[in-house]
Amino acid sequence: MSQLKVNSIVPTGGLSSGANGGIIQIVQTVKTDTFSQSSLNDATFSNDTGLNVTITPSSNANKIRLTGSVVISMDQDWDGYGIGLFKGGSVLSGAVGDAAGNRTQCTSMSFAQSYGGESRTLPFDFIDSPATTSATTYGIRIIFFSGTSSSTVYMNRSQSDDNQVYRPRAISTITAMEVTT
Amino acid sequence: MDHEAIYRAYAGTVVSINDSTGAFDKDGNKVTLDNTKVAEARKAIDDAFAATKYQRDRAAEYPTWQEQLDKIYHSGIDAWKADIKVIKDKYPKP
Repeated sequence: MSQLKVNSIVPTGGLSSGANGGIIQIVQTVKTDTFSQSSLNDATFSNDTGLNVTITPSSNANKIRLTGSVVISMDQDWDGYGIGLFKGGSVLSGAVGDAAGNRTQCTSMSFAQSYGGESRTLPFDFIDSPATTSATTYGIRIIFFSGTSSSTVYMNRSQSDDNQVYRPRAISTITAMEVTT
Repeated sequence: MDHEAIYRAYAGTVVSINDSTGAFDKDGNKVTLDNTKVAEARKAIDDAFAATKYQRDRAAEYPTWQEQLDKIYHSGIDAWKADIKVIKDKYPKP
């Protein structure tokens, strides 16, 4: 079996202006079980949800594209919830909305309209420039915001979870792709 | 893992639960779970849920509030109460 190794593949028509390389490494975590955190304080990120992915860049000049989707629910009516993209236990710089007074900063968000048992699937897509060749762990945490109360938050399940066909279980994913520059 | 039962059994101690890795306190320390204690909590939850089944059954059969107001307007309170009583009698409070 032969193997072809090259440093770079360029289309016959050449790269368009500003184009960089291609994807040389993909790592994905699929979380199929559930996570919950009780009494999560307002505007505070949850503990580690278990939805993490670790990638080791081959060059500190390369970028890491992070994509995925997260299924979350909570037990409060008419409040908001969201997710945050973390790197090494801290919010990933640039992966949340701008600071604006008291407003909560997060990566993606939604609001329960009438019943806290509603679930939402939140997508995310972000490119990080880690500038390292060390193993780097990215993760997703859940945040809740109401201004007045705390909430239990859930991943991959609805808030109510009795043993019925209408209480489904879902998956959440995070994918890290190393992109050459 | 039975999250609701664990939170009830370890109220004030367990803060987060990950099916893959277990239950944890506010400091991220793993909490060792007593299955008997969790099972007792599950039974208490199920018992409480069963005790209010009549409420859910009644709620599912009551007419909408618009229909009930219409009934009162056209037929009076007694006629409305008679309709409601049929449902209450069908699902008596334990």
